[in-house]
This record gives sequence, structure tokens and C-alpha cells, in this order.
Amino acid sequence: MVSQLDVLPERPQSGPKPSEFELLYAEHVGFVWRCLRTLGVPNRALDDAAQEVFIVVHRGIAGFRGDSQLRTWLYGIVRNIAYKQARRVRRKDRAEPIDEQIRSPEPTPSERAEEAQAADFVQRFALGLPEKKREVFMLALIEQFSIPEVAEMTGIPLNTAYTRLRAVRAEFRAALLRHRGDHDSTR
Amino acid sequence: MTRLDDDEALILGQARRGLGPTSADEQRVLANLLPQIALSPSAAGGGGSLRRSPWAVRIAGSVAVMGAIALSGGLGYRRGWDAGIAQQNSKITRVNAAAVASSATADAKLELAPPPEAERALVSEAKAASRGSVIRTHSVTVSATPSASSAPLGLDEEVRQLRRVERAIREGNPRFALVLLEELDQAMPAGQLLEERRAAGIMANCQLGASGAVDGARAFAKTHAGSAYLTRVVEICGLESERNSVAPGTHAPR
Repeated sequence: MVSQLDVLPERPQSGPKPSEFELLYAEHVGFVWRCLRTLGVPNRALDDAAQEVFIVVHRGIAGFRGDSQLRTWLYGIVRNIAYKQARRVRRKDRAEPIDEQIRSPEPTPSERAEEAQAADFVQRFALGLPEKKREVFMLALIEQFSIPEVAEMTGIPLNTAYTRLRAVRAEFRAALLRHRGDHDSTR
Repeated sequence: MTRLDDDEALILGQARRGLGPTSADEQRVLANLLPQIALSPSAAGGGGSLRRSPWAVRIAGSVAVMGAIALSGGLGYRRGWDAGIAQQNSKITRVNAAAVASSATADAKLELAPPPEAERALVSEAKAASRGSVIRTHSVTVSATPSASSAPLGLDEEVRQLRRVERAIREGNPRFALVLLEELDQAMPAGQLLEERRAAGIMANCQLGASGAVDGARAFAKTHAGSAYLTRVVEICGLESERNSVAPGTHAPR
């Protein structure tokens, strides 16, 4: 039987080996990017915010202890920078409409259209939530962390996390129903 | 994680993809980031493309010169001492590496077997289907060659991500499981837990009722007769009637 490995192109033997930092970046950039967007960093500030996160990670990783807490540590950095960036941008340009803030930064290929629409809806919903609920929504429902993990990452008691999740799910369901209703009525 | 209904799982799964960076975003940010961290004081891992700043080199050079002057009298002794330390360190590194490898193996019961034809057919068929519909499929196009991402940091992350995939499957959120699996494949294409990824992908597809999923499960049963995941794959994909062909003594991880 022909192995799938046989049909894969061989890796180039030369070229620089990625550093541990680059591997860490590749593993976590998706999480960082989604969190920044959901926490309200506008698209035009995303690059700067993501860079800032990884610069802080780079400075601090050598002193970091305990791999099991990496996401918690990383999330703490993301949260600080997201709120700092969001405040900075709000101060700089208060007049910017929310549509401008969350619109996709580049033309969307057709295969990503549905994803972009869903992202737009979910991001609008998230940005309409108070910060505390938004974090639970993002970590539990978008990032799919367990509730004990969410409690640890956000530094809230477990029961509070469960309560917030129940509330935010009810709100999300209601918003989704409204969204579907609007969508159907425009057809 | 709580069980999501189909609508919620669908829109959240799509949103997760839509909110994530494109590969162009990732590359652009990294390209801007690397020169900046080359000037920053710490070096994580210190490998590959990170360059030291001129100041760091100067400081390191000054320290080295002062050290050489101060220790010139005892240089031979120092070398002997360093050699001894280096030898000890290399022993410790070997022991640690062995411990990490055995822990990973015990954790995951790793088997690196090439994916069979049926699974590949399942993947390509489901991929094609996913373009036109909402179903997204876990890609199994991964290399069995351990890469730099199979360092302990990568393995830990891979294990954690797979736990989330497992949880999604247990909670009845197969769409999310597939999204998470695909992200895992993109972030760590050459991970160490390939059999687990494959099993999880098959289970999620079976839960979704994707066409070809059962054939994929049959192929998995054939090529991974001793797998710890086989009982669950058989159960979720409804192959109990064919269970006689399953090797005895297999068990489902809980």
C-alpha cells in the first residue's frame, strides 16, 4: 500500500530551523488573535496588539514556570493588552462606527463568506456584553475551555463562572433566534 | 463545556474560524515581530532566526573579557570543572528526554501508522463536501516525522488540545471537535499524537453522519487493531455487528 507519507513533499533540508519562540507563536497566534478581536481590539490595531502580546511573551517566557498554566498566563497578557489597545483606540477616534471596527480587514474569499458572517455576528454579540460576561462567552463558547479552566483564567470563583455562562448562553440563544428571524425575513 | 445545539455549534464553529488570523496575517505579524524581539533583552529558546542585538553582544563580550582576565590563573581548572558540569548536564538531559518520551507514550499509546486509502478517501470526500456545506472535516495530512514541534512544549499543547477535542466529542459537539482538530493540524502538522487525531476525526465524522465516515472507521479498525480508541470508534460509528473482527483486550479510554 502506498503510504500517505510517500506522496507528501519532502521537507527542505536547508533553511533556518524555527526557534522555540516561532513554534510557540504558531501554536498560540490563533488564540491570541481571536481573543483580541472578541475583546474589542479593532482590526486596524490588531497587528500592533498581537505583536505587543508576543513581545511580552518573549520577555517573560524564560521566567515562566509550569506549562499547565501557559494559556492562563498568555490570556492575562492578551487581556491587558486588549483593554489597553481598546481604550487607546477609543480615545483616539471616538467617532468611528462599530461597523468600521469589526469589518474584515481584507476582501473575503467566497469560501470564507459564511465564516466572516458568523464571526461578524458573534463579535457584535460579544462586544455588546459587559466585559465580565464577554470573557466567559469567549473562553467557554468560542475557545471551548472547560468552566474550571475559564474560572482559573479569569480569576473568578467556579460558581460565578457557571452562573455567567448560563446567563450568557441564554442571551446568545435569544440573539441567535433574532438573527435567524431577521435573516429569514429579508429573504 | 456545555452541550451546544446544532445552530449554536455551527455559528460558533464558523465564527471561530472567521475570527482567527489568515495565514497572511500570521506571517505579516511574525515578520514584523522578529526584528523587534531581536532587540529585546530575553531570548525564548534562543534558536534559529533570533538575532542578538549589538548591545547584548558587546555586554557579553565585556563580561567574557573580564572573566578571562580574572580567571586566567585557573583556566585549566575551570575547563575541567566546565567539562564535568557539561557531562552531568548531558546525562540529565538524556534522562529528561527519556522521561518525556515515556510519559508521552504512556499517555497516548502512540502508534505511527500511515493512514489507509479509505481514510484518505474519507478526508478528501468530506473536504469537498465541506466547501459546499457546513460540515468541516479534520484533515489527516500529517507527517509522521517528528519535527521541532514535537519538543516537550509542543507535546503538552498537543495533549491539551486533544483533551478539548475529546471533550467536544463526549459532549456531542462534533463540529467543534473538527474545527479544533483542523486548527491543531495547522498549528502542529507534525505532532506526536497522530493516531489520536485520526481516531478523534473519525469519531466526530461518525457523530455527524458524514458519508464515508464508517468506511474510515473500518479502515481504522483494520490498521489499528490494538488501539485504545478502537472500542469507542466502533461504538460511535455503529460497527458493533462487525466487532468479532476487533482484537480482544482493547478498551476505551475514559
